Formats: sequence, structure tokens, C-alpha cells
Amino acid sequence: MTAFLRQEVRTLLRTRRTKIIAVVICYALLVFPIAMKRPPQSMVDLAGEWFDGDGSFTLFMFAYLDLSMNKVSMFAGIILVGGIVADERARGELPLLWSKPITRSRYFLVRLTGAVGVFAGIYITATLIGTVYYPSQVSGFDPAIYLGMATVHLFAAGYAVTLAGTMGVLLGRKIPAMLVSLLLLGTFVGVAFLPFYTDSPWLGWLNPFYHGVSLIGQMTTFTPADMLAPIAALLAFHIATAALGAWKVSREEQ
Amino acid sequence: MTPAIDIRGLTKQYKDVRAVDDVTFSVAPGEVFGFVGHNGAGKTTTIQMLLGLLRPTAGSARVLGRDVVADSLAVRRISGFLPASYALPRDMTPVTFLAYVASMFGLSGKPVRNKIDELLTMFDLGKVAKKKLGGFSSGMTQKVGLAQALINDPQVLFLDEPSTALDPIGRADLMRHLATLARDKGVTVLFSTHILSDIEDASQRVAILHHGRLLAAGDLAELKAAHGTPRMDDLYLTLVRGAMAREGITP
Repeated sequence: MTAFLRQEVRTLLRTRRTKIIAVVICYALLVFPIAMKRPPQSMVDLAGEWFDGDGSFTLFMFAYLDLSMNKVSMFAGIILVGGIVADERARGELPLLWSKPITRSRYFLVRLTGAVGVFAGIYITATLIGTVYYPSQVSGFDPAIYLGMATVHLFAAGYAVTLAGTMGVLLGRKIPAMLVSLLLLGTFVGVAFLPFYTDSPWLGWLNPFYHGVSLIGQMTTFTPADMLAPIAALLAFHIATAALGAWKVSREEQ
Repeated sequence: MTPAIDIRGLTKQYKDVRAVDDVTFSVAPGEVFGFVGHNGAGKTTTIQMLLGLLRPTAGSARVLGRDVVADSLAVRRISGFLPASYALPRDMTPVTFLAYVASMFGLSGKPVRNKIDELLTMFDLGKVAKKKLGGFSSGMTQKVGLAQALINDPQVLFLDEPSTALDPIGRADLMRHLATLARDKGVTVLFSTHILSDIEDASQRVAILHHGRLLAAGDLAELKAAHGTPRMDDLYLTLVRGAMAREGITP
């Protein structure tokens, strides 16, 4: 199946929607320091109070994860795979594609994995650009902390792709699936920092995007070992969600 | 000789409708076999069962010795298939689409690129190889559809109404290709159609289906002789009218 996965990635990289997502993520990344140039002192103080570390860099990371990457990932996931399988069905392509020596669930999983992989590639590239660009733009910027937090957040951002793709096959129709994905992801993203504001970590246990940003609570002290728990939780979300989609698609008639 | 396709008592029941009813016939290796019936006769359902895309309600079928239910992926690996109704991805070109289909068979690299070149030449698609499929006519689309069915060098080819969208030249070319594949490469071809002249051009043996039931199967010349009908369309009409009379339907 590696040949199919490679071909799927190649196909996705050629699409207009992938190029748009890459441009939007890079744009968000590059203009962000300009928007965050002179934040009000009250916000800097609040960030220091809610989270961990020096106020200005903490505020930057909070705003970067919440306003920039969380929101962009949410839309990127929906745009990238919102109509997976449903689109092909509506266009009449499935009778041909599903007649090949691949199970329907594997077809779905390969396509989903390809989309997550493409999204991860864009995200990683953007993060590496940030690592080079931000030190000159953000006071107190620490590349190691930034990379560590972005590494964990990558799994949450990628979850937007997994969820949107799964919704496509669960609901079977593109527009309703995209709307439900938007609603769910919007809710997850909207309350991702709630456990910090209320000092109640359990409020985030079932929210992948909380796990994605959870290191902000120990920004100055986390070690690589601290990254493992949120990554493991996020992988479990990915696997459970994708398995649900694979199960649904395996039961479908043409 | 072991048949390439061996169907025994194949049946598909959908709630109140029996789409395929106790169908039995076989196709020899390297044969171009005609599968005839009106729209809704059960041809597509039978072909989908042969590829493991639909599960039979009763009966069994084997393709080159592989059971179509227990070993459906193996059947599809050695088969090529062109559905009766399908669309191609509008944003892909013939080259990218054929590479995409090849990858679903686990094929990639230079052999695939050579195969794609061969198929583009075979179906006269060289000039449009890098144009988006979205702008293709139905005849051109059908040629790409036929090319994708051959991307894996199949040993058995299932073509469901392959000539419907083709113009007379395209149809003649298709029949020539099928004969060449069977003669030179030993490919077994089962193609369904309701265009009776295609059957006479391409097949020595046929199966005729009507309302899911097999009316006749065997050597076309022998069937015509047995029913005193000189042409395929006379044979078909004689058999179908006989079946309708037995069902109490006035033709």
C-alpha cells in the first residue's frame, strides 16, 4: 500500500486546496509577530498568570497556538478532506476506484493518512520557518520551547484532518460533514484553554486541542519526556476516530 | 481444462427483488465471452459478484480458481474492470490517473510509466495525455476507462457495457483490441452488452440473461442453429419472447 500512499500524497500536493492551505499557514505564521508587536501589558500579565514563564513569550506562544495555528488547522482540515469518499461518491468515481484490490476501509485509511501526512509536511515546514524567523521578531523567543510545543501541537492540528475526514464518511455528504466538523472542531478549539482559565485540567481530557496546547502550563520546565503523554493521548484520538471512519466505510454499499 | 470463470447457481436477492437467479455458466481461458441482456437483466450485478464487490445470496463463483467471496482481493488483483457507469477524477490527467490506479495495485516506477505509455498509444490518447480529464468527451473518457482496466496486465477482463459511449470507429477498435488481448496475451474477456452486433463481432460463446435468469449459454453458432435463427438479434428476440410468454407477459 506504500505505492498508493505515495501516489495519494503526490495527488494531494498537486491540488489547489493544498496550495491554498500552505499559503494561509505561512501567511499566518509570518504576519503574526507584526500583529503581536505591542500587546497591552494587561494581556502579558494575564498570560503569565494563566500559564507558565515570562509574560511576553508566553503570551506570544498562547496567541500563536490559539489564534493562529488552532484556527488555521481547523479550517485546513475541513478544506483538505471534508469531502473524502463523499465527493467521489457524488461524482460517480467510486464504482471504478473500489473495484481495485484494496478494501474500502483501507482505501479510506490510506487517503486519510495521505492527507494527514501532507498537512503535517506543511505544518512542519511552517514551524521550521518560524524557528528561523521568530528569534529576530519576538523578544525572549526560545526556539527549543517553540519546537517542543509545536511538536505536540502538530498532533492536535493533524487531528482536525482526521476528524474532518471521518465526518465525511460518517455523514456521507460533503456539506453536512463539513458543517458538523466545523462545529466540533470550533468547540474543541474554543474551549482548549478553558482548563487553564479555571484551573481544572480534567475539563480538557476529552479535548484533543487541550492536549495539543497542554505544555503551555509548564513552558519553562517541560522535558522531552513530558511531551510523550499528550502525544500518546492525541495518537489515541487519531486512531479511535480513524477506526470509526474505517468501520463505517467498510459497511457501505456502492 | 479448468475454466477461467466458473459460476454455479449464482443468486443475488435484494429484499423483494431477485436480481440474479441461479445462474450457471463458465468461460474458458483466453475466450472473449459475450454477456447479453436488456437493461436490468442482472449483468452488472453478476459482474459485481464476480469481482467480490457484492456478496452472493446463494451459489458460488471462481475466477482462475479463486473464490470470489473468500478471496475477492486476489480476484481483483488479477482482473481488470470497467464499470457500466462511472466518472473519472476531473482534476487528473490520463497519465496521473493511470499512475493512481496502478498504485492501487501496488505498482509504481518505470514499469508503470512504460505501461502507461503503451496504453496511451493503444487507445490513441497520446495527444491528450496531460490534459485534465474534466474536459473529456464520453468517448475519450471511455478510452481512459478501458486503459485503466488494463494497467495491471489482467488475466481476466470484465467489461460492463464497454462500447455504449463509443462511436462506430471506437467500437470497432475496441473489438479489435479485445480480440488481440485474447489471442496474443491469453486474456479472458467477459463483456456485457445489449448491443447485439458487438457480440457477433467479438464472441464465439455467449450467455443470455433475462430478468436475472439465464436463458441460454454456449456456442453462439450452435445456439443460432438450435433455435433456427440466422442472426444474434433473432436469437435474442426468440429467447426473450419465449421467456416472456412463459411469464405470461405479452411482448
